[in-house]
Amino acid sequence: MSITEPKEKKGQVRRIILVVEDDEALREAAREKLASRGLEVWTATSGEEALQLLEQRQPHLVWLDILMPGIDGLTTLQRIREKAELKHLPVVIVSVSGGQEKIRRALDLGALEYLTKSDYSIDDLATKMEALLHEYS
Amino acid sequence: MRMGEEHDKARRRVFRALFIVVASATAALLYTLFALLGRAPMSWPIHLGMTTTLALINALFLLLFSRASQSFPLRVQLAVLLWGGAALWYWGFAPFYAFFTSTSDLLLVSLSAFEFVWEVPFFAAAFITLCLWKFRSIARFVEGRTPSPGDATALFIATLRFPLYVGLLAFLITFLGYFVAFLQSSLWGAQPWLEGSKTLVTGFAISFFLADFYVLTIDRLLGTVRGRLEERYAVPRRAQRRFSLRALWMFLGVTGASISLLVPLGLQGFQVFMRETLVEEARTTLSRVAPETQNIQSEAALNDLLKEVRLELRGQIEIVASEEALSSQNIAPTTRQVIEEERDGVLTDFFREEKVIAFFSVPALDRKVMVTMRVLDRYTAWPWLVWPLIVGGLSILGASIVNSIFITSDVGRATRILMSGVERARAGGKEIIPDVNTGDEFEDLAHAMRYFVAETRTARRQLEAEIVATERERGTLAGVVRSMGEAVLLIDRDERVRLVNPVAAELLGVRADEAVGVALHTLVTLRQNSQVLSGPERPIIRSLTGGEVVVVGMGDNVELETSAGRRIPIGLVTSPLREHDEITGAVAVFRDLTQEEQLEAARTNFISVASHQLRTPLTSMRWFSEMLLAGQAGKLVVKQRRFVQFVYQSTLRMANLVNLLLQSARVEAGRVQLNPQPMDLKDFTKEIAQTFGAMMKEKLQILEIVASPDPLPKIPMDREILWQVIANLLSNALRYSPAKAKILVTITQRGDAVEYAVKDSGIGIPKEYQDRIFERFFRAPNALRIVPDGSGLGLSLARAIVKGWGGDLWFRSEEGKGTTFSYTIPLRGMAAAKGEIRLSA
Repeated sequence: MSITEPKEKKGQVRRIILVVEDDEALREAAREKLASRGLEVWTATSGEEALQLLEQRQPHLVWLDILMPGIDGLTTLQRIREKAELKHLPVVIVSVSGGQEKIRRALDLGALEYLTKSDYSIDDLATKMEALLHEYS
Repeated sequence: MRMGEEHDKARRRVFRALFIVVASATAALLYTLFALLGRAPMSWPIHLGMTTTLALINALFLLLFSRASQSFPLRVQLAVLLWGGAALWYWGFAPFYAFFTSTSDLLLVSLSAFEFVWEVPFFAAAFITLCLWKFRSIARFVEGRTPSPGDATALFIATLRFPLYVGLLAFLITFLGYFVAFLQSSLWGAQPWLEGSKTLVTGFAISFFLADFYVLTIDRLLGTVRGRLEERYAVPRRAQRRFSLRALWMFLGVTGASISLLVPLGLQGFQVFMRETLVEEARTTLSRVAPETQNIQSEAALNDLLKEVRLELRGQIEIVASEEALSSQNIAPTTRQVIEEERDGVLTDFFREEKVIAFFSVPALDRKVMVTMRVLDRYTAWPWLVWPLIVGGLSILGASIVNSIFITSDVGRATRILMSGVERARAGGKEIIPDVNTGDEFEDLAHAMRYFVAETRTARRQLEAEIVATERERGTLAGVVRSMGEAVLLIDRDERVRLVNPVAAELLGVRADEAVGVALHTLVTLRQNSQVLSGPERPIIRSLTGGEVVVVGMGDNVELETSAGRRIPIGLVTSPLREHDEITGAVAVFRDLTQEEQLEAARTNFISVASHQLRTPLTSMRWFSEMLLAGQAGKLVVKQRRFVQFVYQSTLRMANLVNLLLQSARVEAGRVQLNPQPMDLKDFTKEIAQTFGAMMKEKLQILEIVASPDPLPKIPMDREILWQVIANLLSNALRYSPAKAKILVTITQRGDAVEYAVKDSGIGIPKEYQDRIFERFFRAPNALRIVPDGSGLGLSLARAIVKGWGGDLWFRSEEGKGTTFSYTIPLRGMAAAKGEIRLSA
């Protein structure tokens, strides 16, 4: 896990986004792009790591991949929802593919959106995240 | 219902007739009782008329009964037969015979009449009771109580013996009746002993005939019972009876009885002749003597006259002086009265013995002279009559025996020849029935049998050939079923296994020979989605009871659970087995789907893994090139920028390719989720066309959409799927058509489908590549030249989708002139499908 320390900007509350993504390149791209938009980016490489981190501190938004080694994204989301203090944590699913069943389960578990990575340019995705951060925190 | 009414009608008629029989017999009995007491007249005509009437009434009763006999149990039929025989013989034949053979006066006629009337009901009742008692065991069988096979033989023999028993009983009882009549007439009726002996001989003959009548008729009645016994049990019948012995017995009996009947008739004739001779003699003598008696004045003169009379009339002469003396005479009271009252005359008297009495009075001496001539005394001629009678009778008897032997041996020989021929034919010998050259029915019978045997033999040969053919066919079929790769199981109407082939036996975990005859549900349980399928839900039972053909495929999740608890996923087809429109069983053909399921799982897994594994690196390539192009890693020089641009474009193409590939894999696997909603095809086409607006503007192309009818009916279609097809064909048409070209889309309703055609004026498809156009990744060379970055997947995906909704996709094309792609959409549209994934997810 790593936390990119944000560059402080005066008078502005730093928005924090946790990117849970097992693929290093995607994780790096996301961090790079989101950080360049002035967000504080935490990353986790697996569901376990994310849960561990969430026990200590809470971000404003979670970017959660689904297909990961170990516990997958949906299970991770379920565990998050099981914790009282994380019950209302905003989570966006960002996956490479989406089965109808998976989408339904994710939304049932209270995911804000179910986004398919390959459909979006990284810019669009970052914009979407900013919008969600603005809306839910 | 009608039959029952007929029966009841016939039975009612029979009961009415029975009532008349009883009433008339009672009336006759009462009348003769009065006659016997002297209160009613009785004579031979009355006697014969009365008994004849009784006989006729009984004959009518028998006739009515014989018509309705099937409505009565066999015991009743037997009783009526026994009664009928007695009534007809006793009231029909016997009185007439008695009339011709007996010599009786008025008193005796009354007695005889009374005897005939009372004896019949009395003896018949005893006789019938005894016979029915003896008939118990046979009646029980007839009424349906089935004996054991051992008892069957005993019963068979009983049916053979019963007629003889009845005959013997009939003889004894009838003869007993005659014996009683003999005693009665001799003691009470004071008849001559000769009359009594005639009664006994007559009794013997009549009893015999009656017995014979019963033996024959009852034997016929029981023939049906014997037939049923033989049918139900293999009762050994042979050598129970010999026709020749029976014939001999019949001839002897009938001849003997006939002679016995003739003897009293002959005797009676002789008697009458003798009596009339005596009467004539007496009259002649008396007519000469009578005038002289007036002149006799003294005892001496009387004695002289009597001497003369004695010379002419041989007989006992008595001179009776007083009435007391007359009463001591052995004569009937009526005779005595006549003698007392008349002066002279000739009389016949039957008191104690038969005699002719000539009498005359001698007035001067106040005497009556009575000459009694016993008919028997004149029987000096009797031996002359007896010997011819004996010799005649014996020769008739002998002739009968010879005749019977001759006839029976002739019949017996012919029968034996035919029998042995039939036996040989049954044993399958080659000989045919030997010739019987009797020139009568036997010869005809032999001929008929020969034809019959020949025909039977031919029929048997054909049948055997057919059986062999059927067996062979059955063997072939059994072989086919045995060596089939699919499991085959056959059950009968009671759900018992009739056939299992080796594959089925292995799947069920049983041995094929042990499974046969076992109830199917004890061998196997079916589960659908892990739930046990109960009786009527099971596919094979639906086939068996409902006649359905049930097909269970992979998606139905049906498992077979063996008695050992092993579960195997199966595919199944069950169908009813019919014979003459009647379901006699059901057959199930099934197979193990374990491997298919594994393959299917692997394929599903492949698609999801591939989509993840391919898309992930593509996504990062895309994002990093985007960031490079956005200058996020510092400003790029022109050449760097160009290079990254190429990477970015190729990445997008690659992503598109992967998407198409995954889509067609999903369409083919039938895993796409469908949410149909009513769509207007024309509007939808316009909407899609807008996405190609830039390209069209660039190439100055025109799109024309014609709907017929306009507006078209809305069709429930999945938006995304339909988009894929329409967009695919539109983009092809635009891309392969030159600038300024016109693309024509026609949407036409034809029957219950809509035909959607996209006509371009593009490069066309070369003839030699037309049949490869739907191959994945195939691209015709001319297309490659114009649009180098096409995937070669669009058309195959479009066609797979169209086929998926039950439509068809085809094209007409000429190289250099253009192409028209057409496909159909059924008006009912798509059915919703709960697939697991959207097309482009």
